[in-house]
Amino acid sequence: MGALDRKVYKEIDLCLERIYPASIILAEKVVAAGLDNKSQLRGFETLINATTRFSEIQNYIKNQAGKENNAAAKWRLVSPMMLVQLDSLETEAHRIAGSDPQQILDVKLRLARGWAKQVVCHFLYKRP
Amino acid sequence: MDQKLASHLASAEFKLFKDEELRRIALETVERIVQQFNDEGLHPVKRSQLHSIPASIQTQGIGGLVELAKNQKEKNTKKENKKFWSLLYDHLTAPNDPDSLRSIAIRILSPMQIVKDVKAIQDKAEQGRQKTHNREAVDVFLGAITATYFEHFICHFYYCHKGG
Repeated sequence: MGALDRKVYKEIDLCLERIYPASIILAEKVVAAGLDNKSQLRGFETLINATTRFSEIQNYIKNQAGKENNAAAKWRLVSPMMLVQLDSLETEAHRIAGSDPQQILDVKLRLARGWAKQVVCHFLYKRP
Repeated sequence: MDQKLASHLASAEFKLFKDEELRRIALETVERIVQQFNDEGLHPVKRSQLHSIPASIQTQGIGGLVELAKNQKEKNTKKENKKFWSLLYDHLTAPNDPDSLRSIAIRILSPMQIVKDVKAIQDKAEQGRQKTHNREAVDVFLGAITATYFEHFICHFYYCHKGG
């Protein structure tokens, strides 16, 4: 990811502040779903921090929810909300970055990483 | 390779296309297939049917996948599997289907003047050259999108299959 304009960083921070309550609701839902294996969410966070493509995150969620195991059933309880929140991050990235494709890609990933940090931290704080 | 195409494939615009527009196209394709299965009262194919897709793309590109789809549609005895692979084969190869991957590639490359309408060319030799150029450009473009396209396709397919 390249460096962004200072105004863009500020917009990203403001967006992350705005979505924080929704991220908390999602994290609570993850706890309630019983997705209590720490590695499930840590794996998710690692993927988000390592990927260079936003859609890889969406695909990861769909893949986890589409598996045929016990964890998949739990992922299916939270995946619709995750995907909706990611869609709205994508929309926000377009709003923040304007028409510059590289900037849109960078902003999307920064938003996704900030969002994942919010969700995972609250999940770790709340899980039984 | 066409210079215009080469610089397009290296651009952020193309990366964004793979991230958004290509994903949307893949999702629509999956949903069309799922709908066709529902309309015909067929069970969805098992997840394992799709396992060989990424490997065949990785080793032999889209040609490998076409080969795989061709073999599978002829080999499989289950009605669902036959149907799935037939639909996939058509999606990969059908020249006149507006939803086929080749038609989609032409639709994307035409406004950039990378692929040109050969009917507008009078000279037969030039028409032939342009045809070859178009085919090569579409092949290169498909080579650049196939792996990501099928990542979107497969993950969404799994997701739909499980009623996510």
